[in-house]
Amino acid sequence: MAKLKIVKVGDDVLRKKCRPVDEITPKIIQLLDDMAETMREANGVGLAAPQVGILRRIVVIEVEEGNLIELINPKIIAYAGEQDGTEGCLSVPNKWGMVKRPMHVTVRATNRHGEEFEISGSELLARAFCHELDHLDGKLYIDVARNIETVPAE
Amino acid sequence: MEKKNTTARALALEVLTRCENGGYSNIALDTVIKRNELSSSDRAFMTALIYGVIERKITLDYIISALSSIPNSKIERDTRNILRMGLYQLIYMKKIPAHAALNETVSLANKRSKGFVNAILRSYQREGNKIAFPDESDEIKYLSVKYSIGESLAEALLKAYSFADCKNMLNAFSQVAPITLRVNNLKTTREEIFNELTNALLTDFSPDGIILDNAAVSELECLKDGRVTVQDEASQICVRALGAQKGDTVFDVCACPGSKSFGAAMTMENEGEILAFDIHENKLSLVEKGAVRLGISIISTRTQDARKPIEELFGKADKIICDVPCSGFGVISKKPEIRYKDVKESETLPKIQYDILENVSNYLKVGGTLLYSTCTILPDENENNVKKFLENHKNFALVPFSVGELEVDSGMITLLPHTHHTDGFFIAKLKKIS
Repeated sequence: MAKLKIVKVGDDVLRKKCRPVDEITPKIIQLLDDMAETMREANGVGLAAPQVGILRRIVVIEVEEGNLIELINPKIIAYAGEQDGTEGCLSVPNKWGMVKRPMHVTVRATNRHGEEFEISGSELLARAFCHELDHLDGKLYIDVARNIETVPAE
Repeated sequence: MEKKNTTARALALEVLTRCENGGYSNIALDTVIKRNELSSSDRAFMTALIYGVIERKITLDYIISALSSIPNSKIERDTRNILRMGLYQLIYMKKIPAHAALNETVSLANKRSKGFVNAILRSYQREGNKIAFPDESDEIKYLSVKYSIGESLAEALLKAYSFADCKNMLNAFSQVAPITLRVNNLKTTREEIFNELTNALLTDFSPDGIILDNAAVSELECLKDGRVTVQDEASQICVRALGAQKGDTVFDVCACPGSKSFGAAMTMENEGEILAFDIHENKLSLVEKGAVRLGISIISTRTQDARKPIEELFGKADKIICDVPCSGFGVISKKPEIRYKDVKESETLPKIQYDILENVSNYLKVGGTLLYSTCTILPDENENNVKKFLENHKNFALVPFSVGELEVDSGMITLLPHTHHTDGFFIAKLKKIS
């Protein structure tokens, strides 16, 4: 496994639309593992492939420690309700902003074994689904956030 | 997506960080409360922890230095705040189980400093009671560390008060300040409010006041509907000492946020005229909104520097409220940051205060009353200013007054937390005799 470099806002790669994954090759498996490690190392709850410079529709999410969710070619198929809260992004350091998201989200995706599955989440998990899937279409939370503020690191 | 730790302790750390970056604690706290969903118990705990750490900062840092081999200045900002939070819980929040205080606070530290934070907090548990405070022979250092105030404030207090008085005063300032309400007699009576509230006490001197113990003030029905307003007893005494009556013309020359104007309007039963000035135009809307909430219609506002003479106002007022801008050292129990303010920053204030007093004294009718007040306890802003004014203005004199059982024969008094159970506050009642 290897820790990857996280691309920061300003880099064009974050603004591109990602291509779907046609075939799950060993390289894709390696990428999933590396993304999970990178996310954990950076104190993240989610990471999308374009954030490590790779324009493929792949996302990893870990809202609860030890419960890793890997999503290949994910799509939101249902959502409901609303929540409003603070969001931050590993590609936009030291900034936090308020973003409205659905309270409940259901995603359909493929797992690393090539099987299609559905997963639903509420609150933080629903927020992470929306935030990460936006990355796959070149969108960042700062495009829609209100009251963005800077909290300097040490 | 970046992980956001939204436990009460993590958010308390965030607020402390914001404060160290120059934010005001109340604003930083409000922001964090608005941006995160917290239960009311978490919110109460977080608020107590934040204000506690700010209030005891010098004491806590002294303890950290005693337990750590690394000098305080070399400890990273977040690590230092985490240590302060941990110690505050262990020392002052007796209801928090020590293991929770320890584990949850240590977990906020980054990987590099977890071990260090853990070691310091555990060594406090083992041998914290052996830490020696500075000796009382060094009075400034002792007051500063023991009561967590800046050394310049300790020095200024020792110039004005005895060491024993300083200790009693600072001890009283360190107690949790009760919430004091002023009853709006335009809408209700003190008896009605007293019967409506649980855990309420009557104020010692003010005939309008009610003290609340441990109440969530923002949720009080009588506050929302304008039957009471929050006002320290010292301010209530000040308004009573003025003795405004129905039909008077009153000027409140540094009016914002308006509580003394409101008090005067209530004692005048909303008959007469009150002109509320302030130099800050944007704050005057607070006065207007407050008046509406309280059912007061006799206050008009005007943006005005109280030092600048306005001839059309000369000789027009029956009563003047002259509550001048001050160093605020009398309200440190409510505004903890003031504890660390350098007294030097206040050196220019007595001149400003004097200029205001001198100018607005022109607005008074012969026979009229002027009340000079501050929320500080340093003589240069208080009695020394009044004495100087009287030397230069022989047509003014101090007049005795009493409020409840408080009798002030000399016409001026510094209210103190350990003797009057109020904020530290200065009041002088002056009369224009010719």
